[in-house]
Amino acid sequence: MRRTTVLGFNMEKQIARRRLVVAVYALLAALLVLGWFLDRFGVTGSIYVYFIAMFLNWKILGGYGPNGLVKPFNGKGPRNEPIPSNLMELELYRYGNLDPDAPDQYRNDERELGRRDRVHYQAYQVLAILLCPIWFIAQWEIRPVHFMPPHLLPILLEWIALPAVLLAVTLPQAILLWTEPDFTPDPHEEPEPEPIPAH
Amino acid sequence: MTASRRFLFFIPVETRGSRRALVIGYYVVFAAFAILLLWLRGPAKYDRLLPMTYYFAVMLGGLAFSGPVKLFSEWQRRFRNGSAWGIDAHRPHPWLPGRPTIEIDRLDEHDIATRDRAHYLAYSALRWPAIAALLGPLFLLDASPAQVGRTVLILSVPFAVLFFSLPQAIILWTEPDLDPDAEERGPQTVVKVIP
Repeated sequence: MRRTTVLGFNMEKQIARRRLVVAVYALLAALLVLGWFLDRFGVTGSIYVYFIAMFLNWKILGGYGPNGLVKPFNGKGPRNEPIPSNLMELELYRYGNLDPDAPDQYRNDERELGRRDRVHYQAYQVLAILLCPIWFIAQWEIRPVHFMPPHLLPILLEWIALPAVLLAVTLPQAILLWTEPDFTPDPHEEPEPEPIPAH
Repeated sequence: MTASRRFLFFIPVETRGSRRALVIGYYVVFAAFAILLLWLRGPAKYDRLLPMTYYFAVMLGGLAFSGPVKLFSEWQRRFRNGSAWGIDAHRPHPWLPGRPTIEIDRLDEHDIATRDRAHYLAYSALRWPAIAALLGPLFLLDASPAQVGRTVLILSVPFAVLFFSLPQAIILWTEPDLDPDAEERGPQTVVKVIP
């Protein structure tokens, strides 16, 4: 992990990160329900939920981008771009940049690489489990089966496919945040000076 | 990978070159099989290809005990040797005395690291195609449920081919040549030096 705060909240404790993961998925679940009532997962209901998931992933969870709690999985450093020539580029640089002089912000050590690979293996299993019903339902829509009413199949398909997409985007980072232990203070780090009491 | 995993049927997979040829051949054979099936049975049988993607991937190993790649899953291993039900995994064979019931290769640290890394690479590669395959059909405006289902199915088959086989293919592609096992080495000459 790279950062220890999200929106001003301290994320050094495992319990705080677990609460964050629960909050992210609760928000996404609420948005799914909202998207369903809005237009039955039409363009509005599904696109907005998907983009909000991407935003949460990009800004809070990290992993597949330069921001967020989890270091970039690919370990790539920031590009040394020249001075931005327009405002859009400047804005992108402001919000997407990392300090090129601090490689520990984006370079994963051996343990982190091992953890990264392991959580992707675990996420792969979850997605395999989710994909099987999607494929069954897609097959049943072409060859209707007697035990499933045909009008339920598209609803089921949407209710499994969209959460599967959200999980594909967020699950490895969520597992990582869920399982990483509490931060221990670095023994070589100098303790912060005691505040001087006001007389 | 161990000595028992040196062949896929009759094809030797001991060297990296032969395993890479196997990976290329695997996808070529599946593509040829799919074309042949659709040509002979018609496009209506396209959905039959979906389970085939799994059966083909099983041949490479990883998902099952057979195949050049060791079984990935630890719980599947425990179910197979009985330890999941509290049965001793090293119990004697019921019909062949002196042999353990089921011989299953254990995953050592290197195997686990290789497995996890292969899944990371596969996940990174398949993440965007998965999102496109699952989310794309939802945007089909004015499409009937059958059309959405058909689109999901059409996109699912090439995706499933990769989803089930890519980790094994990455392992087969990247692992170095196998060393000869102790049993396969020639007899070592012991020279006794007498002063």
